[in-house]
Amino acid sequence: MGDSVQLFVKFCFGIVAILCLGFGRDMEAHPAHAKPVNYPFVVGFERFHSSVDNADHLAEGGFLLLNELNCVACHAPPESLANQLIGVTATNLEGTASRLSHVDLELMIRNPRFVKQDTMMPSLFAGPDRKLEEVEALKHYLSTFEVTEKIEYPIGDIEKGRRLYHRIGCVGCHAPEVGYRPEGLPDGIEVELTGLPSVPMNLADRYDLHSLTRFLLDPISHRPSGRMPDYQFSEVEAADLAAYLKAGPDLKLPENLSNALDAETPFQTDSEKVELGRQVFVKKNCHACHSMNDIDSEPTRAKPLLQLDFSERKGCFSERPVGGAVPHYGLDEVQIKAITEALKRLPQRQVPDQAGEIDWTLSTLNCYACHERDGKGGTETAREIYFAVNDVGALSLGRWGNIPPRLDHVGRKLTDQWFSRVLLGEGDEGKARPYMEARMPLFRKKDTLPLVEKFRAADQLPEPVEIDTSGLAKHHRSHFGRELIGINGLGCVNCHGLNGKKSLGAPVIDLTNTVHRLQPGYFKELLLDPQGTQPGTLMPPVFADRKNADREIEQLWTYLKEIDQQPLPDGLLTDEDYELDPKTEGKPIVFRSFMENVGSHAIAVGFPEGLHAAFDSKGCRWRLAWKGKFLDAMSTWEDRFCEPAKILGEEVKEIDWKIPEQAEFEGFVLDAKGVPTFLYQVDGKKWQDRVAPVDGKLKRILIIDGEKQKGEELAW
Amino acid sequence: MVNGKIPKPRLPIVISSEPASREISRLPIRDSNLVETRVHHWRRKVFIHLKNYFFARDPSARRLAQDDNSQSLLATDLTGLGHRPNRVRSAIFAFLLSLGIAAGQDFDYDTQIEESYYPIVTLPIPDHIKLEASGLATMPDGKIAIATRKGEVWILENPEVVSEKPKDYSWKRFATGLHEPLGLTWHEGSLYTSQRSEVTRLEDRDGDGQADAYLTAAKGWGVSGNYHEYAYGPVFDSKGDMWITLNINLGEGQELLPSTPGDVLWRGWAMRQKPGGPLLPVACGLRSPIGLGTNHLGDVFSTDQQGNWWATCSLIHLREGAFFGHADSLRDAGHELSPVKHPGKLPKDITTAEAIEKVPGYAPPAVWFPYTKIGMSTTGLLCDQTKGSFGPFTNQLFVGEFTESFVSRVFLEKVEGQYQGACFHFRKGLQCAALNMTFSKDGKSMFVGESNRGWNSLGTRSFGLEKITWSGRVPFEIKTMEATSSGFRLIFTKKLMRNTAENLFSYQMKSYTHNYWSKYGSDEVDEQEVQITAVKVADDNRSVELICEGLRSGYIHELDASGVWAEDRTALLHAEAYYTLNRIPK
Repeated sequence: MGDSVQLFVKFCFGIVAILCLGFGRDMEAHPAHAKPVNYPFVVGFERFHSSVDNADHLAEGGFLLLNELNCVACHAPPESLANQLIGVTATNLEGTASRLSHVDLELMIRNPRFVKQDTMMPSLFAGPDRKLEEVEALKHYLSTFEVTEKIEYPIGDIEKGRRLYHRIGCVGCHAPEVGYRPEGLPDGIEVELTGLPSVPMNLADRYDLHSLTRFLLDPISHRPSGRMPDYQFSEVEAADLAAYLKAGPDLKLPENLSNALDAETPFQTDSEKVELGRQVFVKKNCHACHSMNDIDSEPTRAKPLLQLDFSERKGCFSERPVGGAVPHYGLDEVQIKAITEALKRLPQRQVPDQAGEIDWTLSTLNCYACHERDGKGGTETAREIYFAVNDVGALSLGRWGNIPPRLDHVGRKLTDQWFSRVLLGEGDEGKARPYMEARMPLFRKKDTLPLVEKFRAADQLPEPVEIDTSGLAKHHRSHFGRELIGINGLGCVNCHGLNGKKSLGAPVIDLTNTVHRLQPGYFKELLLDPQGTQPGTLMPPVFADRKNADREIEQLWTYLKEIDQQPLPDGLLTDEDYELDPKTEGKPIVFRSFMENVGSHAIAVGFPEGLHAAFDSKGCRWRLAWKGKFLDAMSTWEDRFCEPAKILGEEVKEIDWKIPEQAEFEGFVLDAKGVPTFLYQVDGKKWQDRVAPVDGKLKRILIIDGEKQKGEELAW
Repeated sequence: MVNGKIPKPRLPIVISSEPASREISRLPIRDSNLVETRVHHWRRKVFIHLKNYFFARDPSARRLAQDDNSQSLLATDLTGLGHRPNRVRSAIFAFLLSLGIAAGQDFDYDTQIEESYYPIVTLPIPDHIKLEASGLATMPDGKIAIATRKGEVWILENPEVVSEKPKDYSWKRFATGLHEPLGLTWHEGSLYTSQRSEVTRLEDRDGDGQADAYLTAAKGWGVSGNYHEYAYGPVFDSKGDMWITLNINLGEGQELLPSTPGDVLWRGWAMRQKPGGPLLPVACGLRSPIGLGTNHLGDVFSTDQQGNWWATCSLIHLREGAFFGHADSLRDAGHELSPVKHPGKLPKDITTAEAIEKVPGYAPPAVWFPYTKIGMSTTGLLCDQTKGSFGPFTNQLFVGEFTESFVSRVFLEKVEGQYQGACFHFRKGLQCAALNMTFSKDGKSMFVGESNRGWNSLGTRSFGLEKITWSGRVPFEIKTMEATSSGFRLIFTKKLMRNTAENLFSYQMKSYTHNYWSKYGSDEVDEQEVQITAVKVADDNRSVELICEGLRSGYIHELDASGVWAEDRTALLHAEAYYTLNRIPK
């Protein structure tokens, strides 16, 4: 008797608490929280399916629901569809007790729909047979799952979090903050309201600040389904975002942070109740969705999907919770209709083809929020302003500058390796679109990596574009490609950056990693027909009238293949890139090359003092002196045709000294400072000839057969 | 091979757990293909076994089977075109092929198999070094000195290190400001290198690790400023004489100074300088004799490249007074120092085989490298004096290949006092054009210097340094191919499976020559089948003697011995040999 009184008191307390919290929540609604719907929110269904669809299309949505609501965890799908309808893994309950206060925990168990109207978690304790002691026990059981080491994260900056949230693609799925004006939006332009449903995130209200940061840092370990992907935030970014999401409507964190930081005083668990709770967990088949380390038993399977009787509104379809182990999802009419239509078509359902499988993955993971493929999905126009650029030049590219790329042809566009990198979240290094702020988040590998092969299979052309990238053909010389890519060729560098250098004009795709990113066939396909390959692209049809397009494209490829070992193209290359500078070197530079007016045996000597001279080692005589900059080594180091080395300085002076005809050069030696002394023989006598700057003048010291001659001035 | 070569990544890529030596260091990006590679490898083996089993006894069918393109084999067999000696076997084979056992296409099997005997490691190079390695020299302390086309000499202090980090190798700059050095040699305590206008001896007098004396060791040839005026070497022969080779110039020079008569002197010549003496011309007729080296006896050889006057690439024995064929160099034959007698007007419409008889003083190459069959542009030369540390090819020569990025192998013998011999494939799959090679001090590895600037080459890099190491496993190869009065004697690296070696149909041979003309390259002409009439296998099962009918002196004799198996059931790694039969031994 005493127990029931106690329970009753607790029940009343609970109701009051719920009412208070519920009220409080509504009043405190975060400006970026979408208004929740009153049924389980499945984003792929919400966006692409509605009551006005024809039955076939609605049935497609039904299949999506069967998977996303994890119906298939209890109702086995037909074997042929087992690979597609794999269901989802629900929230990882490890650490629950550290994330949620025990009040929230209890409420979530009693009726998740009350706490989160749009939750996909069904109610199991809302039926007529509800036993509050079971709820209590379950709470005790779940309270044992605490995070062992509690990490303190920095308290984030709300404004930075707010900015981040509205720049990198969060708004692709979630709602933008009401009234927020993205940077750079001109005054007087109204912010368009989003029309498509936004994925709710009421979670922020329930988690404490650190747990939210922790969640953002590693959402997939919290929610193994990966429906919330991992943006690989830095700790600071995650803390900023958490602070923003946790802030009140006034965009301030509560003054007393303890509430936000640490949900609750520790909850004393009772070992008997814990054990009872564990049994309840198994009894209610919770482990069908939540995988638990300490529960080995297989979840109970209900009737397979094919055997379900869906003619009546009973079981999971019931309007009110029926109790027992029957989950109550709170499905709305359209969803019930969709599932019914799906179940009707189940026996005839074919295993999807490549395109179907791709569409399925893009729908379930909501890739469509940002990417378009085959005319489906893509960023909603009203959300495009929440995808930012970090380079004002990119503003002139329109949607090509800020919106994640379309996925049409991606299977023949990206190499498997690069595609995998992108999917594994390694795409940021060597990013092709450095101006784009949107980030590609990381999903579960097992969901995304198979896409690489599926895309490849689905996107192949019946006749692949042929291109020879071997390097074997005579025209496969990288310097040909270099000429083409530069401003004196096709001028690619006007828009494309390369090897760490920005383009001359607006930024578009950086070409540095082209050969790692792109399949050679696609590279050619795109260059030959930019509009046909990427409708709307800004890329001009540069090869339209070129007779040797095939060869030239291979030349471009050869150059890009070796780009890290190649000189930059004309336009991006500057004199400084190959300037020999004795000042930087800190000592004289001695440099042999061809030089005009010095000859084919020229040895130029540059001094840090800014005075330079060139010696003709064939005739054994100084021929030129000049001031300022020294030499451009480009032609000597890179040019196949060995153009003479160019003097970069000024006041070039010809030195017109008479020397005996028959001089034999013998080399030079460097002294401790690196100044060369040229050695040669004239009529059997040994000459030592050294020129170096003294007091702003080039002074010559000549020693003949060990006898020092009178000092001479070479120049100035 | 559109996707056959995957570029070397500069970014970290996921690497699988498979520590296969080369893919990790060189091609991590294609790592996902490893499994596939092994499958192909296995398929290839099965394919060869089947091929041999089903076709070994029938020459024409075997010829079909040599075609690794299973499709054409199938088509020919099934449509019944051509000779069909054994339809049942063909049909079975075709059936097996159709089961997918046959080799897949678009895959370079040889490279993969070569890899297991001679793995290649790509050395990581610091970003700031443009290591267009044009000359390599092993120093007495084991360090490797590397001359670069940009004009520097680098010392690789720890060449034996195995590391992904460039700095672990310790790269030290020894010399700078040289003018396109193409060759590097360690001789009597100094490094020697050929620049465009002189041979320079580099000395480090104060011992700070950097050269401070750049001394002229040889000079005096013409340099007009034409890009093609490369100078190679030097090498030192057994007497200590220094040798260099000089490219012919292609086109005009540059007006850098008023021109003088000596501006193109000795272009296309090999030069020699005795200790203390002047640099003197030795032989001419060269075009682009980039590979310069000595054999184990100290005789000096050079490679030359296909082009005008050169029908295909070659290996030549440099010797006093010889004229090797490129006519432009004859302009200096009348010079007072020239040891070459001008051959007079060169006859037209002759082959290189006929030139031996008809052109006075013409010296045929010791070895021709049939174009595209075994390279397109021979480069560096290196004699295997590792005493077995690098495998079973003691005293043979290794030859670099530019366009197709590989290293081939040459066996030489003397017949009537002149060198001749055969070339074989050795190791493909370098990342870039091979220019120059040297052995590590312990002889276990061959370093290959690479640069393709100005031309094209198979592979993915513009320059670099790679190391070919002997794994210790002996590949099954034709080790030597000697001419006999009645045919050839082949010595193999492994014991033979006697029945395959005894089988006449295991061998095929043809001979051909080239046009000798001023045009760029030549097709193979006057081709004839060489009939092998008998095979004698030696008692030790190591060698065979082929008795041939229709040997022609002056002709290249191309052998395909792909039917021969080793006792351990391996097929020949390279079944082709190209013997230049300048003289038939009496």
